[in-house]
Amino acid sequence: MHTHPSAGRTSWLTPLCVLCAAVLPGIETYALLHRSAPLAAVAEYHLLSAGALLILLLLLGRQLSVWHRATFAVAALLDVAIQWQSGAEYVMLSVLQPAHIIVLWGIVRMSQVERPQDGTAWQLVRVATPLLLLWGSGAVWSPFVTTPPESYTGGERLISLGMTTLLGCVATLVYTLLRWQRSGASPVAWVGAIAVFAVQQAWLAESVRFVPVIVLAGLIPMFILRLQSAARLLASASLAIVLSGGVMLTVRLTSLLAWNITLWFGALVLCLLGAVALAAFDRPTAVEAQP
Amino acid sequence: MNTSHVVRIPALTRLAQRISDPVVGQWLLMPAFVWFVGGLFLDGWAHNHGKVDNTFFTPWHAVFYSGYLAVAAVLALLVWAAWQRGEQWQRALSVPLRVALVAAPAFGMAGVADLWWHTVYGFEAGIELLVSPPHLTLATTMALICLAPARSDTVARSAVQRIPAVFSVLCAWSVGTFILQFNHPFGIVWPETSTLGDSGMLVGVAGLVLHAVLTGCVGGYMLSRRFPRGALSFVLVTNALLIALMGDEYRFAVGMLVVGLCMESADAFLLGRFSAAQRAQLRAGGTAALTVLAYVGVIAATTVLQWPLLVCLGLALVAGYIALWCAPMTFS
Repeated sequence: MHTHPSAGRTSWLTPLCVLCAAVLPGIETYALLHRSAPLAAVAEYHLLSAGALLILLLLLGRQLSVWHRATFAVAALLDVAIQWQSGAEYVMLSVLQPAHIIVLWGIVRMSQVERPQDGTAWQLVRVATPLLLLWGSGAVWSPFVTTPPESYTGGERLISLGMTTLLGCVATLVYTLLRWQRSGASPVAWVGAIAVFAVQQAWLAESVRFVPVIVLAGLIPMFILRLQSAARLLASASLAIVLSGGVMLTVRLTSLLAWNITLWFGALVLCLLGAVALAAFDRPTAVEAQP
Repeated sequence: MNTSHVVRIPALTRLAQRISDPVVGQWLLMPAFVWFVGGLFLDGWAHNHGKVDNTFFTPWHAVFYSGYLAVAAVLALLVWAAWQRGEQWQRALSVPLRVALVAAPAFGMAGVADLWWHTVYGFEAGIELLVSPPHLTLATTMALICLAPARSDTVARSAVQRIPAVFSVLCAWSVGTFILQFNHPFGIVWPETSTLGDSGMLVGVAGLVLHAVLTGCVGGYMLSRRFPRGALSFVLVTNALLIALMGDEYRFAVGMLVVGLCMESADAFLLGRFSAAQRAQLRAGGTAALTVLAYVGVIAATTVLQWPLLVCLGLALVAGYIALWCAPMTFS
């Protein structure tokens, strides 16, 4: 990643706008999950996300192609129009609507814009935005919000859901870790992103019990990579073990762990295998490969 | 190891030289892999169709473990060939084959552990059966063994010479989908039975996105490595048929054939029009998105699709976009 010597003087306003845009979809999901807003307000939340994207297009759109700008602008308008007309009785209908997916895509794209003078604030935004959008908008699939080993006391379908969401979350965090490490971004960016992610998930779940797990799962691989930058396999494995084991241990200590030892072990090993496979197959992107 | 004192029979040395050719070695491994992985899915079919009782010694296990012995025999033959030529196998064999040589005895030990596990803890059912410690060890070592030809493959070889690598990708990926069959969309078809607000839809969405992304990665990898035309379609269809053995859902093989043909046709269009990195993204993302569309398309064409169309389109975008981010892993 290219950083200018004067990176410390970069404006904080634009990255803050991107970060706010990344948080907005999670607010909508929170309202739908906890029924703290009338369903009619769903369209208003989409108006916020779409509006945020349009503002970002004004601030940063010059660095995108005309095709990208047009696509994101049209998607933002369509998203609001569709939600206004149809409403949403269920979280999934609101979250998985194609125009809304493109709006989220647009916010991620804005966050990944590279500029020579980018400082730590931008690095943090670049790391955090995909995580916040994916597990904010997709909070119903988050293992920290709909905790699998506790809520799903039985039945193959719910054990399957728990295993899959845990695996998905671990894979996402491992991938983000690898991208952060290859980009050469500051450790403050990674720590900040993990902290923001932990706060978001705690807020969505209305519980802080998984915050230590998320923070530990973020800090340990970071320290491993600081000691040995080539130890990606070990760092990824540590993240997987701490996160998956930590989730189940937290549930065990705070309430009832419905999974037996075979499922516990199986979930942990599946997450570990997924993390190791990701790290083993990881290659630098075109931008990261530049000297 | 100094083997200069060994008397070498010329005919055996010539045979060893022939076997030591990397392509010949892969061709020897290929039928053993088919036997090995075929035995795995045969055992899975038997478990899912009530053809097993509470014993380790079943005909299905016999096929499976004899397949393992066949693979082990071929690997031992490759080591012998190196020794016969007066070389050390640690230097003569490629790194992927050395990994396979370490994984093979580990698989054997895991098999013994599996026998002990079932003797002590009995026979589990469902997801517990798939994720028990011996089974995960078996699957991991099996995947490492099966990956050897693909990792040794080079683009410079002819289409015929690369056939074993195609089977290698198929076998390794199929082992992964076998272990993850508890959330595979071809297993329990949630879009037929679950609706909005149902926990089944949550499960179905999670499984569909995961497997579509994995399919996207396989598609991106095979297209980026320029496997022979038709190889991707073959791998997608065969894997779909293998998974279909578990739940008798053979119709999705048609959908995967469409995905393979579309992506291979589109790939010819991509060359020369985009940068290498962009092509990798389009390959992985396109395969993943098409997988979702083909899946829901097959359901809509054969039964009733309960999920709203907009949700299905949104899922295709989600899977495609996640696979797009994974594209660097498929491209080297």
